[in-house]
Amino acid sequence: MSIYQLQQCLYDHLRALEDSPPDGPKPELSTEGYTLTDEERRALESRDIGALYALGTHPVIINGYCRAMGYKRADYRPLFKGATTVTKGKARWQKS
Amino acid sequence: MAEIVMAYSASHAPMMSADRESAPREQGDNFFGALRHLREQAIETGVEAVVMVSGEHFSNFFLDNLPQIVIGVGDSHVGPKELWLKIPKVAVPSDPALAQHLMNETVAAGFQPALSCKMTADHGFMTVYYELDPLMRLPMVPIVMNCTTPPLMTLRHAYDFGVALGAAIRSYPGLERVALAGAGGLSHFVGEPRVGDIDEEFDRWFLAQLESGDLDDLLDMPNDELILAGNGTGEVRSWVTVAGAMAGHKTKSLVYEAIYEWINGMGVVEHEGDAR
Repeated sequence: MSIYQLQQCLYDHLRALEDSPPDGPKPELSTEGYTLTDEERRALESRDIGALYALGTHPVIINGYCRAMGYKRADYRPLFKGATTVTKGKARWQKS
Repeated sequence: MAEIVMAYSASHAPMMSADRESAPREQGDNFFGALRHLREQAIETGVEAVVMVSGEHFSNFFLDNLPQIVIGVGDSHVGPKELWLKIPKVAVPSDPALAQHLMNETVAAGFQPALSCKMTADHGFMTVYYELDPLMRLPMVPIVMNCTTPPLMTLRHAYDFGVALGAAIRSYPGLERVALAGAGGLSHFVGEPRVGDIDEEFDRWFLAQLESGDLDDLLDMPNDELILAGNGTGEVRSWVTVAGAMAGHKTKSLVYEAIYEWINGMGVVEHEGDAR
C-alpha cells in the first residue's frame, strides 16, 4: 500500500499549499511520517514527475502537483518523456 | 411538483475562468455565447434552483474514502476551492430540502449515493455555475461523481442514475422550476504523457450520439474504451446522467470548440425542458 502513502504525501502537500497565506512562505513537500519505498521517496524528493507517474500516482494528483510547481496547461508534458500511456488504442468513434 | 424547466451540460475547464482570454477569440465567443443563452433562459423560465452534477477532482474526497456518487445536502457550499480561478469565493446557497429529497428518492430507487453536509464547490461546479448566475445567488444542489478512479460506474450506470435523479426532481413538491446541469468533459488528458491532447473525433461523435437520442452504442461502451478519449474524459458521466434525466426530450448541441489553450474539448448541449 505504499503507493497510497506516496499519493497521500502529495495530497497533503497540495492541501497545505492551498491553506498557506497568499503572501507568506510556501510549505515544502515533506516525506516525513509516510511509509515509502526508497524509490518512492527518491521520486518525491527529486520532484521526478516521470517517476511518480511510472510508480502509479493518480494523474489528477500529478496534474495538481505540476500546477503547484508552476507549470501551466500542457507545458509539463515533456516531463513524461519515454513514459507509456493507457490512452492509446482502437475505439468505436475512430473513423480510421 | 417541480418541473425541470431547463437542462444542459457544459465543459468545465478551469482555464475558462482562470484564463478566459487565452482562447482564440472566436472560439471563446462561441463557447460563452452558448452559456449566455442558457443564462438568459434561466432568467426567462424563472429557475428557482439548479441541481448540478460534476466529477470529483480530489477536492472533497480522496483515496481514503471515495464514494461513487455524493449529494451535497448542506445549507451552502463554499467555492471555488481554487483561489486562482478568478471567481470570488463565496458560500453558494443550496436548497437542503431538495437535496435531501434527492437523497431519499434515489436511494428508494435502488442507488446508493453518499451524503455530505460539508461539500465544497471546486472549479467543476463553479466555472459552470458562475456563468449561469454571476451573482451566485441561485441555490445549487451539488452532486459529485467519481469519474477518474477505478472501479468506475459505466456510462449505463450513470444514465440509469440520471433517470432516477430526474424522477426525484420531478417528484419534489417544494419548488416548481428546477434546472439540471452536467459539468465536465469533453475530451481531455491530464497528468499523463498525452496531457494537452484533445480527441475531437470522440467529442463530435459523443455530441452526435446525444443529439440522436439513440444512446445504446454510447451506453454499451466499456470504461476501458472510454478512457481512450482521454483520462479526464470520463467526466462525460455527468452529461450522460443529465441525458438519463431528460430521456425522451430533444437534445441539441449548442457549440463545440476544441480549445487547445484550455487543453479541453469545450462543448455545450441543451435538452428540451419539461414545459415543452
